[in-house]
Amino acid sequence: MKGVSQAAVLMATPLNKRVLTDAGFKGSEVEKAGPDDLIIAIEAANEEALESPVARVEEMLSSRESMKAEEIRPRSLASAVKVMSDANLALISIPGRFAKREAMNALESGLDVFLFSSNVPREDEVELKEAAKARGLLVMGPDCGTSIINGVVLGFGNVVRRGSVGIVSASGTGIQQVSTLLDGEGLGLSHAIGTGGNDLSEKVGGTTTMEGIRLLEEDEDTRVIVLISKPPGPKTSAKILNAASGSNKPVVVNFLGEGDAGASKQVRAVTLEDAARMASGFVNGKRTGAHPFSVSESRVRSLAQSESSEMSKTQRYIRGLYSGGTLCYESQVVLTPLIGEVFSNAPLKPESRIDDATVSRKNACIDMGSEEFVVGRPHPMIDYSLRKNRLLQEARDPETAVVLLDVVLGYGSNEDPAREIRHTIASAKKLAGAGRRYLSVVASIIGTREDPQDLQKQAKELASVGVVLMPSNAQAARFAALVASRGAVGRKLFGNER
Amino acid sequence: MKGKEPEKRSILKQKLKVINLGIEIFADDLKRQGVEVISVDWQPPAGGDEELLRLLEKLGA
Amino acid sequence: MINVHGFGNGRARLSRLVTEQKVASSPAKRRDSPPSTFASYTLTATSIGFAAANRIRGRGAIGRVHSIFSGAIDVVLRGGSMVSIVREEVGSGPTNIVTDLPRKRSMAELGVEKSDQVLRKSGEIRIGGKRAVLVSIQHARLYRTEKEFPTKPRSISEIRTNVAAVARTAASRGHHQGLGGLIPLLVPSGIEKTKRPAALNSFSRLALPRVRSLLSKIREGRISDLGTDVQNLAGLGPGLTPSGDDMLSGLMASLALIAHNLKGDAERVRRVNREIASSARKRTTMLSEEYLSQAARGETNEHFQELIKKMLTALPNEAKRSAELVLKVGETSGTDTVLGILLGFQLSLDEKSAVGVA
Repeated sequence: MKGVSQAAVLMATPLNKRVLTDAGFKGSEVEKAGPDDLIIAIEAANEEALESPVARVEEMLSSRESMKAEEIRPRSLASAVKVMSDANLALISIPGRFAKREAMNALESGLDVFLFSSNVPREDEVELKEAAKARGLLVMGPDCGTSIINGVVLGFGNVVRRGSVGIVSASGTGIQQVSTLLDGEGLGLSHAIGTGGNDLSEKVGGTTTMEGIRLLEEDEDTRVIVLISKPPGPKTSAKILNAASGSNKPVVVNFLGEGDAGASKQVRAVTLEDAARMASGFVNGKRTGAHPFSVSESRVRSLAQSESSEMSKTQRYIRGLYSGGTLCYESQVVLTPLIGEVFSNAPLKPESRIDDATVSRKNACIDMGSEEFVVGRPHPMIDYSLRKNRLLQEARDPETAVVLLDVVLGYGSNEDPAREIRHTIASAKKLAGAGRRYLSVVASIIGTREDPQDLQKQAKELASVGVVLMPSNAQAARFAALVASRGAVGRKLFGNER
Repeated sequence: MKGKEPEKRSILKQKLKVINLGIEIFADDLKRQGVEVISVDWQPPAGGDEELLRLLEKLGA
Repeated sequence: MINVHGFGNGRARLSRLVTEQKVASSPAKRRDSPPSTFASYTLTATSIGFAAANRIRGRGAIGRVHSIFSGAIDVVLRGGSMVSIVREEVGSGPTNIVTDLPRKRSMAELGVEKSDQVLRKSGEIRIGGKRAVLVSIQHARLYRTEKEFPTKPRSISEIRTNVAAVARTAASRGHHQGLGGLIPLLVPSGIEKTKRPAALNSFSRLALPRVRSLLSKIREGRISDLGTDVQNLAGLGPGLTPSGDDMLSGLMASLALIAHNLKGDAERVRRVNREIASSARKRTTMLSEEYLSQAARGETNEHFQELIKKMLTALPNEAKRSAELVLKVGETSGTDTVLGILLGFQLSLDEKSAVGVA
């Protein structure tokens, strides 16, 4: 500023007054001033030069803790709508018991809703979906982890090519597995509509699923529709299958674990991998048969052999440690026909529920994203610490032959899972080695080349610590069975191929 | 807005403009994807605490 | 916060002494004068701090307006305590009443004047005078500092990583008109070896030995000796809440919240904080004394609370992001408070310290 050599604005506290006095600002005014008085001290060449700094200081003083415009955050949905009047979607991830109120506000403002929150009472969900239906709006959720609308990932999700496969899914990781497999083949998604985990319950009746199917039927970009869910109850199941068979587009129905019930006209996929394969068959106009592995039988057998050759006789069991329920479920779907009963905290049937999810027993697949693990912690797709500890625990157990993992990339997931986990894997193998055992670690990476985490680097780093990587979760489970059984399940896996 | 307006375009046909309530990471990821998003500084009513709710009621009385 | 240039030595003339900035009274500031028939302006409170809620209980005259800014109106209540009626951006705090004043308006334009009477009626506060302002509090949410965070704290070594990340962020992005320059000197974060810290301003130079002395006394548990150091820091530096006070507030709030969540010696921390807060009395502004006594109990503005919470429970990137927000919004005041928070973490994570949790 012209003509000003120094300036200070200070409250006239005892210490500040002393500092001012030492600097040469003296006078009775300074002495008389109390701590709640403000002193503006300006050293200037003349009176005129004082004007602009004084004005400037008054201006600065007039705002207390003023926030920069872009950081101002509205405190309610209502004021947010005022600020962003053309908003069309509310992304809600607040605690479940408060979710209905906000979601309803959103619907009343004409917004579609992506509802990530879980523990939303069933009645609230019913009410929300009825209100949405009445307004021609969509409620994706509650408990919805993933949607991909117009190429935009909502929640957790991978960067996937745009294409002509549309997905309606009650499972977020289901969307992730199918979409990444399609992307790997050069195909892509039109949209993936998450419906939330309870949409197909008898009480809710599949409102969002039906609306999702309808939207994709209308959407010009969509040529094939894939439906993903755990098997719903009979009433809802019939409703959905009816809609599917009446559709103007081919529909791949993936009720995990449920194959063709015989009389149905739809195409049924048992695993997520199957669903991707069938969808791509429709897009490409030719059906490909199912194979247990992407690589040749001889290669797989020799890989499995080298994994099990150093194992001790006590090592018999598979321990799956999953970041989400769907992949955990799919693994059980794959493993059960091969190795028998698998215990889990998200079991295929109630009798196989594990007593204590923190301690594995026999063959076990654990969903480490379930409530008991996740309360008060970040989700296991982000925070690997619980899985790391569990890995070491399994390594110490002389009965563990194979540890199965899912490594999920994409938005919302950990920035560098390989870095997070590779030292622990190396330590786990060392631990086993000290007990004259060999711990096999098998994993699948769910991701694409465009994901923020650098897929190739992840694969390389995991492979460098001895992880056997399979192209899909289903194949990883099959491979684990082959290793743990010392090749015995090969007959079941490859039998048809001979 | 009651019922389906014939001109209403489905969310699948619109450019997304999002209001985020809750976890910040979701808003950040949307910004990374070039999506316009505004975050609400959401607080549970009365801190979500029953006792405090009663205190608040007393104040408003 | 105000950006202030520290001044050097040399002779100078005192140009002006201003008491309690009253922007409302200067016509040049008024952008749209309210019509003369406009009897009152009504604001709706969206959040009330717990301490504020308690203090405004009663009916009738409860206090007077102490000062007015565009972002806040400070009210002194009977007994000498304060509450602040603030704009949304200021944020929730223990003694704040956050209102929905439209962004373009200023608290200073509402016609409120210093010494106006403040009346409490059912469901509202009325700030009197020729043009009254009504603040409706019926639907406000109660803001309470969460002493115990719902998320489990991370391990000590993970928290140390967070501390280093925040220290780095504050050193590079902080505003150094106050005590921010002390961050790289007092909080190790790994950058000292690669970057020479900028020269310290006069306040920082003065404060450095006093802060060091204060820290070592707390570390040794010499609570009765803290007084002198505090008296040499409270009221020091630029800002409506002087830098030294912001630093002390950050220090006390973090000590309290850490002890609570990491199962430290909460009683000892309470005694340390009580000593600090009482030693600061009469050394600084009324508002700052208010903040200091709140901070002594671990009660703080939501932005700082969020930062401390993230440092204890979240991943380094989240802690960093939270720090960036605090520094950007709070400017010098934010930076000084972050310095205090970092020092509080340092003292708590030191096993040999009297307030250590490890």
